[in-house]
Amino acid sequence: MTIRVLLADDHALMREGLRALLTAATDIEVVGEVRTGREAERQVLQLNPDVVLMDIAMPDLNGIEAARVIHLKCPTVRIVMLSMHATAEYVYRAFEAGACGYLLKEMAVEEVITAVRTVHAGGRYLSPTLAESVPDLSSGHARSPVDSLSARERQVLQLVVEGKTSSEIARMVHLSPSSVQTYRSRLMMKLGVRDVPSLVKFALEHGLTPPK
Amino acid sequence: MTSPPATILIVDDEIQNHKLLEVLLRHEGYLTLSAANGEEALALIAQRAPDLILLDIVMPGMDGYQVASILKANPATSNIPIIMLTAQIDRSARLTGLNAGVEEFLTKPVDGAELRLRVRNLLRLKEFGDFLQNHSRILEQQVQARTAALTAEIAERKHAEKRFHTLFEFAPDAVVMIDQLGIIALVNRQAETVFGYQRDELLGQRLEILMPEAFRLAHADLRQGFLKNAMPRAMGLDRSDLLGLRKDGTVFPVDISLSPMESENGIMVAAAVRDMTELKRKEEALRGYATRLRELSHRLRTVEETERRAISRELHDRIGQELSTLGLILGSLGAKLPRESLRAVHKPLQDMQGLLKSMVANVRDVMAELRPPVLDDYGLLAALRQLVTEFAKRSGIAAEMSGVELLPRLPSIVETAMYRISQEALNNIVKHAQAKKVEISLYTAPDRVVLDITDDGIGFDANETPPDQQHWGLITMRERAEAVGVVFHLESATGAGTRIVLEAERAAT
Repeated sequence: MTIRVLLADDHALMREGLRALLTAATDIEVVGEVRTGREAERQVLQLNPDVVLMDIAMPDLNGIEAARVIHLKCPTVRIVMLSMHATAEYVYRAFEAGACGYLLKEMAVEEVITAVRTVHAGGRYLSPTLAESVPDLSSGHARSPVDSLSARERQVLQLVVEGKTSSEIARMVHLSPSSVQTYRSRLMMKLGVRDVPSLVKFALEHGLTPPK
Repeated sequence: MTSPPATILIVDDEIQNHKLLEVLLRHEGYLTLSAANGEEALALIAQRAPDLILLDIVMPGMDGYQVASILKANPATSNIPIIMLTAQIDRSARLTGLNAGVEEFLTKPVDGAELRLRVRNLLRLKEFGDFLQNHSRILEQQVQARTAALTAEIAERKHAEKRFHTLFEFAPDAVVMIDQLGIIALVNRQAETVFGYQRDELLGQRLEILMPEAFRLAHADLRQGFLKNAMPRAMGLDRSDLLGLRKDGTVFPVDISLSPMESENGIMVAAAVRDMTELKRKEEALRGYATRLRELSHRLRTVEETERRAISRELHDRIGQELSTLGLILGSLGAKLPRESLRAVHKPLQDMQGLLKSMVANVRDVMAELRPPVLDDYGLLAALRQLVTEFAKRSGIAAEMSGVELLPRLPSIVETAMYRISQEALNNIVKHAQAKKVEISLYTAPDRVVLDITDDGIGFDANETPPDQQHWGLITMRERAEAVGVVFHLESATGAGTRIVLEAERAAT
């Protein structure tokens, strides 16, 4: 049983190179090639490949947006992003969109076969050189409003919810009362609440514990 | 009153009489002089005036009357008292003598006691006379001196008046003098020129004809107020809103200084009016240049950003892609070669692959340097997160980024400005702040987006101009913010860190 792969990249030479690399592996078969995100979406529906190997920078729906659509329509299709971008922002977004592999283009020669095999076997693949700059893949991006708070703001929020006054908080965290006030009004602004009761309510809803 | 002895001249042709008189007078302590006839006497007197003269009437040549007449007619000698010596005392002789100006008569032979008394009395009289004359001469001198001084003063005053008039008349400002009722009493040449009136058309008119209708009523009140506490001052609050009205109806900006002046008719006010048209025009022009300069630098920055974006894209889409593709081709080439050939080229192939990877890495760095693609692809928060991560890694300063994804995204120019300002701020922190920690916060308030960059470094006195390099950095940041409508706040104090807050307005969602 071979792994059926769809290639999505707007550069013909790139596709050609990838095809050459992949077909050298006996367990992998390239079943199709497309040049845009839209074509990828259509071809996935037609060809039902096991793995889509997809560039991010493509005309007509970029790779990450195409991944989102494909993942929604065919959750079983495993998607590996193949990109020039080497920063966490792209990696996070790719995984959020439903990709389960992220491969730097210049590493394709060494890694593409491993990557295809890994995701096909149900695992996740990330180019080892990226591991350092993408420390925690599972946490991803801020999802809850609480995540938009800084560590200090979260600390102040916890203490406010516990019923501490600004001067008590100032003593506890070694800040001036006016700094505490600044953190307090900023965190309320970030969370979009106007008064302390709403703040406590919000904190409860988001799993922060009130005083016993 | 007498200190030196008086000198008495005896004029007589008879030796006997001389001797007798001399003896009598010397005995009294007087000095005597003698003349034997009229001519000799006059010659002597011309040399040295005696204090008193004893004059015989009958002498050869000039007689006593003639001598007396001559002496009394001469102001230099008229005050010397004369005692006439005469043998007969008849009325006509006395009248003749008195007529000639003689003071006293003595009949011969002379009685010693009478002589002494008459001489003494006359000398005393003369002394008084001299004193009085002296006194009146001094008075006269004083009067003359005072008169001269007064004349000089008057001349000086006239001169000053003329100078003032010249100054007034040819002053560079239009000067209009008004009385307490606001009636124009005096104007100078420049006032005629500036307001376009003939002098006669202005004198006696209300001052308010020189200003636009709308100002007149209020001005009359202000005028009253000024008189209550009259002191020289400039007119108007910020001096930028004063307008004058010309005869031809044109309105023009003016600057006015007021000075109260005392006069015999009470306080007058001199208003010096300067036509500011030219200055305002230059000011406008300058403002125009400044605006254009700002627009230009904004345009330059926009062009620069566009260029950076284009080059960054080009690097990504073409150079990067092609280098990666080249890597693939080299890789597959290796796979296709027969084993023995591969051994020969294995090392150079490996080197080429390594070189290609390092080239791709370089391209990536240059791209990030020019304009990180993430800013265009995913917006401000993502770009800032990447910037802050890189910053912390490079500088070793702890940096925490917190914030919310902005949906919808801010306009691209605002995102760019905020991103570049953050870059500049972080660069400043590395270069100057000696900070241990930086906090960057991006959040939304009801009607705006706020970006807050706070460090715990050494700060600086925000009221003073920081060192040049930093100073330009701050100017650039502020300019950059203002050019796209972002409000820039800076808080800093020595030892208390620096905080930069950017606020972009946004319609409430």
